[in-house]
Amino acid sequence: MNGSTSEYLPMLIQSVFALGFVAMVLIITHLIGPSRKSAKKLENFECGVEAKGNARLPFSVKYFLTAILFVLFDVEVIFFYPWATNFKEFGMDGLLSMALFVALFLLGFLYLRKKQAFKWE
Amino acid sequence: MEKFAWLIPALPLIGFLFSIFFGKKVSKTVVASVASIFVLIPFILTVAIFIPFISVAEAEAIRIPLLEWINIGKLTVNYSIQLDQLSLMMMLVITGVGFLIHVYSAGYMHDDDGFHRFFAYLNLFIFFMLVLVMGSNFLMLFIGWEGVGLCSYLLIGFWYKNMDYNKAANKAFIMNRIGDLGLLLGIFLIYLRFSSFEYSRIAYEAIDIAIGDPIITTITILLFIGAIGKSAQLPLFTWLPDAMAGPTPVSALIHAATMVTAGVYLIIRTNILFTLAPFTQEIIMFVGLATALFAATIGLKQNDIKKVLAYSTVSQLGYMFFALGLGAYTAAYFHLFTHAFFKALLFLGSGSVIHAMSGEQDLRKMGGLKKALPITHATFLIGTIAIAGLPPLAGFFSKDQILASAFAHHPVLWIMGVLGALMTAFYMFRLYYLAFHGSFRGTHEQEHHLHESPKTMTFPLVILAVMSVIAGFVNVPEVLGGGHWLDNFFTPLLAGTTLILEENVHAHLSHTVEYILMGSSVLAVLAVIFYARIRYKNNGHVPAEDSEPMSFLERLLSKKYYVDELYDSIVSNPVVKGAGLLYNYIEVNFIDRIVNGVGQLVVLSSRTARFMQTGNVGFYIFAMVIGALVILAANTFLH
Amino acid sequence: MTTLIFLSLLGFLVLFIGAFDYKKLILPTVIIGLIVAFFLNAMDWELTATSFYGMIDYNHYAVSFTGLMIVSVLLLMLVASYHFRNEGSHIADIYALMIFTLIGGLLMTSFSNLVMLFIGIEILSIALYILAGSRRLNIASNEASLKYFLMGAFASGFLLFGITLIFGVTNSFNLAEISDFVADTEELPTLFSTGVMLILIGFAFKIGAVPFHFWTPDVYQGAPTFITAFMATVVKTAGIAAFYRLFDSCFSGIDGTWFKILWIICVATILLGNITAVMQNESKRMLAWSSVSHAGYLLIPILALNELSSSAIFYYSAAYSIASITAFAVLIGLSKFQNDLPLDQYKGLAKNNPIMTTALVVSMFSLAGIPPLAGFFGKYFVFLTAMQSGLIYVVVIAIIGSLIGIYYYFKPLIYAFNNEGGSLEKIETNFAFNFVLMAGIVLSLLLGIFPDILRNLPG
Repeated sequence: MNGSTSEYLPMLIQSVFALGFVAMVLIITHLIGPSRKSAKKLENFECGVEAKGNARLPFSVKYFLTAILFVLFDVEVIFFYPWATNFKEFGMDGLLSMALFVALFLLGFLYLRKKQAFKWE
Repeated sequence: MEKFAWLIPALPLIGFLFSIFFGKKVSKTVVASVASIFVLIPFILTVAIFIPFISVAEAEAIRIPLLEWINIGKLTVNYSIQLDQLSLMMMLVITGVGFLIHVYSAGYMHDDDGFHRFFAYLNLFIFFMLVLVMGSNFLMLFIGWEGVGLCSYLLIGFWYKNMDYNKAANKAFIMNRIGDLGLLLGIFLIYLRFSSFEYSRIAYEAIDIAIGDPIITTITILLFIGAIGKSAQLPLFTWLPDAMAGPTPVSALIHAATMVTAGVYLIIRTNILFTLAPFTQEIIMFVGLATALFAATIGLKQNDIKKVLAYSTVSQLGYMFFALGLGAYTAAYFHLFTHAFFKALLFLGSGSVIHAMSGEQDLRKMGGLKKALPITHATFLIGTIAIAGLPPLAGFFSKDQILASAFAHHPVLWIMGVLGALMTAFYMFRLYYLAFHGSFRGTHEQEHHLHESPKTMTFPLVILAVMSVIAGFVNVPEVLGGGHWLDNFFTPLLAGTTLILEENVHAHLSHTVEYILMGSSVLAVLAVIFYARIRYKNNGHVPAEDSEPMSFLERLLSKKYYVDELYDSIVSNPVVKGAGLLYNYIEVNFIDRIVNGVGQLVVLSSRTARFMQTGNVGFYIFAMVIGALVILAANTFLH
Repeated sequence: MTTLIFLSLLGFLVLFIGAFDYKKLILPTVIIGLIVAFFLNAMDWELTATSFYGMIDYNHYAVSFTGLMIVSVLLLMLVASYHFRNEGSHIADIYALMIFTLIGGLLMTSFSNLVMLFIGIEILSIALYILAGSRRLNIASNEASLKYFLMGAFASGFLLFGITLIFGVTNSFNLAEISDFVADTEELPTLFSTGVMLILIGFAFKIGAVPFHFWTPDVYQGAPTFITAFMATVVKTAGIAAFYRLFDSCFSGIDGTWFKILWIICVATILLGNITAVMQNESKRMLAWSSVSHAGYLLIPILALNELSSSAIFYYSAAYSIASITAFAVLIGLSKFQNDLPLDQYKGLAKNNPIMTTALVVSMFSLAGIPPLAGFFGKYFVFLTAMQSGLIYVVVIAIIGSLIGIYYYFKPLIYAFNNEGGSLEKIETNFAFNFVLMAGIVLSLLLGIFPDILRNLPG
C-alpha cells in the first residue's frame, strides 16, 4: 500500500463503521423488537388516504410541463444568492452580468409564452 | 499571359464535366459548341504564350507551380506546369488539331445517340493529353499517360454494343498496360537515381553522368518499353490497327495525331538520358526502322481504308523512333509535327468517304468518288502527296531530315529508309486511286446516296490541307535556302545532349550529297507513284476478294504476318490455359477455400456480434459498467 | 471569440423566428448566419491570447475544427430543409437545437479548462437528446431519445467523476496547470490515473467506442436520419477533438496505463465496428456500425500522440464527415419519411438518379478508403501517424478492418447498379439537396487530390 492510498484509510474505516452501524441497527431491531402481524400493520401507511390501484396514474401533461418550468425558473434564484451577498463588491460589472443573465431567462420566458406553454386549456 | 496557362488544361476538363452532367439536357449544337470552344480557347491561349516565347532567342523554360500535391517526408511533388519549346509545340498541335477534330465530329457524329458522351470523352482526352505534355515532372506525365490511355479505351469501345469493338478496346488497353509497366518502373528507377521527379532536376544532374551508365541504360530501356506500348512499335503494335474500331475522328485525333506520339514526346523530353545510353539508342533505331518497314509491307495488302491508314501510322511512328534512335531528336519531332497534320487530314478525309459511303470501309467497294466528293478528294490528294514525301509539302522536309541523319549514320540505313518511303508512297497512292478514281464498285443504293460532307466536316479538311502544305516550312534545310528554324528553336531543349556529345547533334552532310539524296529519293517516289497510277487507275486493277486464292507472300501480308495469331498462340492461349489450370486446381481447391473461409469467419463473427445488440438499455448499461470496471481494474493492476 | 456569442444569438433568433411563425425566413437566416459564423471563426485565426478569463484558448486547432463543424452543420441544415420540405412544424426549433449543439461542439474544441469541457459536452448532449426524439409521434425516435439520454447521463457521470478526481489531485481545472502538475510530480497518485481512466470512459462513450458503443446502433437507427447524420459527423468530430485536446495537453507525459487501455479500445472498436457492419441489411444501421469503426480509426492518432496527430485527426474527421453527410443525404433522398431502409431499396438507383448514384459511389468509396478520394488519404495520414510512433500492430489490424469495410461499403453500390426487381419511383429532389450532393462529391475529390489544403491547418 503506497502513501497516497493510505491517506484514504480513515475513509475506509468510516465507511465500514457507517455500514456496520446501519446493518447492526436493522438486525437488532428485528431481533429484539416486538412484532404484531395484523392486516392493518402490514399496510404501507397507517393513516391518510387509502392507497389503492396502480401507482402509475395518468395525469395531465400540462401539469407536468408547468411543474418543470416552475423548477427551471425557480432554480434560477439560486444564482442570485451569491451575487446578492456580494452585490457591492461586484459593482457595475456584476450588475450588467446579472442583467444579461436575467435577460436570457426573460427571452426564454417570452419564447414559452409565444409557444403557449402556459395555456392551460 | 503565362499566368493563365493553368486554364489551358482546365477548360477541356470543365467541358468534359459539362457534357457529362448536362449533355443530355441541352441540344447537340450546344454540346458541340461548348466542347469545341473549350478547346479553341486553350489554343488561342497557347498561341498567345507561344508568340512572345519565340521572339526571344533560346528562351528559358517557364515553370509555373500550381499546387503542392504530395508532401511526404523527403518526397515533394507539385502540380506544376512547364512551358518550353517542346511542350508549347505539342500544345499547339493538341489544341489546334484537337479543335478542328471537334468541329469535324459535330458533323460526323451528328446522328449518333452517344453524341454528348463522345464530346465528353474527347474533351477529357484533350485534358489528359495537355496534362501529359504540360507537366513539369514524371508523375504528371504518368497521370496524363494513363488518362489518355483510358480515353483511348473508352473511345475505341465507344460503340460498346459491338462485341468486337469491345475486344479491340480491351486489346489496346492491355497492350498499353504492358508498356505502362515499363514506364512506371522507369519512373521509379529515375526517382531512385535522382531523388526527384522534376525534369529540370534530372537534366541538371544527368550532365555529370558518364555515357553508358548501367542504371541510365536500364531507365532508358524501361522508358522505351513504355513508349513502345503507347506508340505502337514492334512488338506491341497490333492494338493500333484494331483501334480503328472507334469513330474516325478518334482515329484521327488519338490514334494518329496526338496520343500515339506520346512515346516520341517522352523520349525527346528525356533526350539527355537517352544520349547517355547509346545502347538503348541502337535498340530504338532498329526497332523504329523495323516497325517502319514491317508496317509498310502490311499496308501494301490491306483493303480497309482505315486499316491502311492505321498501318501507315505505325510505319510513320517507326520513322520517328528511327530518328530518335539516330539521335536526331529535332527530326523526330519535326516528323511528328508534320505527320499530325497530314495523317489527321487523311483520317478525316477517309471519315468523310466512309460517311458518304454510309459506313462502307472496304476499298474494293469504292472507286470514282472524285466527282461526288470534290473537296474531300482535293484535300485527300494533298494529304497523300504530303505523306508520300514530295516537295514542297510537309512530309518531304521532315522525312528528308530523317533520311539525311540516317545517311550520316550509315548509307545502308538510308537505303532502308527510302525503301519504307517508297512503300508508303505506293500504298497511299494505291488507296487514293482505288477510292477516288475508276468506276464506282459499291451497291446501287450507296451510289445514289453519295454526297459531299457538311461544312463542319469539310472546313477542318481544308485547314488541315493548308497546314499539310505549309507545315514543312518550319524547318527548311540550308541546302534549300531555309534557316533550320526548328533546329535553332529546339537548341535549348537539347542543350544537355549537345554538351555531352560536345558537337552539334544534327548531321552535317555536304550540300552536294544532300542534293543527290533528295533528288534520288524524290525520283524514286515519283516512279512508284507512276507505277501505282498505271496499275490502279489506267489498268483498273482491283484487289482480289478474300476468298480467292492468293500466293504465300500475299496471304502473309494480308494476314499481317500472322502476328495476332502468333500472339494468340504463344501468349494468349498459354496464359488462358495456364490460368484455367491454376483456376481449376489451385484456385478452387486452395485459394477459394482459404478466401471463403476468411469471409465465412467474418460473417460468422458478425452474426455473433449482432446478438450482443439486444436493444435492452438495462443490458447496455450493465455492459458499460462491466467495461468500466474492467478498465479501472486494469488501471490498478497494470500500474 | 465572437463566434461563440454570435452563434448563441443566432440560436435565439431562430427560435423566435420560429415562434413568431415567419416560416420563409428560417432557412435563409440559418444559412446566412452560419456563413457569417464561418467567417467570424476564420477571423480568429490570428488570435493568440486566451479568452473569457482563460477559460477558452481559441488556437489554430480550435479554429480548424470549428470551421469544419460549421461547414458540416451548414450542409446538414440544407439536407434538413429538404427532409422537411413538406412539413413545417418545429423546424425552427430543430435548427436552433442544432446551432446549440454546435455551440457545445465549439466549446469542446476550444476549452482550456475542464469546467468548460464539461459544459460544452452537456450543451451538446442535452440538445442532442431532444433532437434524437424530434419526431415526436414516432416511437422509435422516442425510444432512441430516451436510450441516449439514460446512457448519456450515465456516461456524463463518469466524466464528471473523473474531472473531480483530477481536480482533487491537482487542485486545478486549468489544462496548463494540470499539465505543469503532471510534469512536476515524480509519482502521481493512483487517484489521478483513476481520474484519467474515468474521463477516458466518458469520452469513449461520447464517440461510441467499444465497449461503450452499445447506444450507437440503436440511437442512430431510431433518430431521424438527418439527426443521425448530425450525430455521426459533428458530434463525433467534437468528441474526438476534445478527446485529443485534453489528452495531448495534459496526459501525454504520464506513463502508459491509459495507453494500453486505449490501445485495446481502439483495436476492439475497429474490429467490432467493421465485423458487425458486414451482416447488417438495413442501411442506417450499417452506417451506424461503420461510424463505430471510424471512431476506432480516429482513436489511432490519439494513441500515437505525436506531431502528426492533430493534422491526421483533423483531416480524417473532415474526410469522414463529408463522406458521411453525402451518404446520409442519399439515404434521406431514398427513404422519404420512413426510418428503415433495407439495402435492396437501392435497387435501380443508377438508372433513376445519376447524381445521387455518383454521390453514393463517391461517399462509399471515400468511407472505404479508396484512392484518390479523401477517405483514402485520411486513412493514409492516420496510418502514417501511427507508424511514426511505431504502432505497427494497430496499423495491421486497422488495415484488416478496412478490408472488411470494403465488403459492406460496396453492398449498396451493387444494389444501386442492379436494375432487376427494383421498383424505385422518381425521386423528388430540390436545389438544396442536389447542392449538398454535388458539394459532397466535389469536396471528397478535391480533398483527395489536394490533401494539403486541410492537412496542415491545425498545426
